[in-house]
Amino acid sequence: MKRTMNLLPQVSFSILMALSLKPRHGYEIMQQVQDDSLGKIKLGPGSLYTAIKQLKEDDYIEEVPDSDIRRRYYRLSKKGWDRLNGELEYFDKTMKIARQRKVFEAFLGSDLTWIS
Amino acid sequence: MDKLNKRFPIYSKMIGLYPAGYRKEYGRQILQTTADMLDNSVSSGSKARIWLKVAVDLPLNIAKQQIQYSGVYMKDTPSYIKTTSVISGLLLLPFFIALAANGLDKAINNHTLYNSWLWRRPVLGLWVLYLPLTAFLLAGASYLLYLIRHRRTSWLKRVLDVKHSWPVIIPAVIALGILFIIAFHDSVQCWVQTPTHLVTHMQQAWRCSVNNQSLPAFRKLL
Repeated sequence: MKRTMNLLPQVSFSILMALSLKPRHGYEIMQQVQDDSLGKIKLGPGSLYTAIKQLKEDDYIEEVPDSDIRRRYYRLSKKGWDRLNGELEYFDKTMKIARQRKVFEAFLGSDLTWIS
Repeated sequence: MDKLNKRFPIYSKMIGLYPAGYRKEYGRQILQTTADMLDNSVSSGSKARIWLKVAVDLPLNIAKQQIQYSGVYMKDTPSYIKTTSVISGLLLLPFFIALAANGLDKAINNHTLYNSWLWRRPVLGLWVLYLPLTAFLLAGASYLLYLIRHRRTSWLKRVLDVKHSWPVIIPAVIALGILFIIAFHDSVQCWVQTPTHLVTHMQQAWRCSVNNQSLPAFRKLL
């Protein structure tokens, strides 16, 4: 079994997150990703389908059969759910460690002079 | 696809630049998503922003997919082909570096490197003859190995199907070209210490060959 895990690129992770709610077509994915990232990730159509292609090749997402002729819908596959869970678990653990170390408080209370 | 093609004639032509496989799978969806984006934008300013985004996003992703699709071929290419192609390429590099250095010297200083150590034996023999010859033999042997190993199809098909063998065919052809130029070059044939005057001296080279001066010249180089 693989011991190390390479984290997904941010766009791919965001697409998996967007599809965790329900199956969506391209434009809906784009909007959800933008909403989830508070407007920080604004995908263009080219970037969106480049990421979708990669996720499909990795079997993380699949097309919903008999979806709209004009717009294809995508959903998470079993492997995609596992991967998303794995990523979220990692982030959850990282957050716990950060809280234990009081990283946020240290960051907010610091004058950050040690950085430079 | 017709309606969207009519709506975005230039954009759909640009999408045609994607690799065929990708275009077939996602071309229509890219158009549809762009149409959805434009239909849901309210102001002309936001429409302009969408087109600006597309103008930046599209060429980058076309390039990315073109690279990925050409990489698909390399994925199935045997590792010995990849390795020998890199080694052959490296072996050919000194030839081009020496020519480039000479060209630069000529352009900047109006001078040549013909009297430098680069143009003297044994260094000259190395980059002009031995390295290209080794590159040719290595790439050629790798190509032959590929032809022998993949016996599922006929010989002719295997020779014509360069999908997997092009990484060694290219350095082999370049190396052969160098050897051909050198072999028929006036300076090597008649040995006047300027072995890279290209094939413009073919007539003189031919005369040298007719006069049977080529063998002694090669012996000098070797």
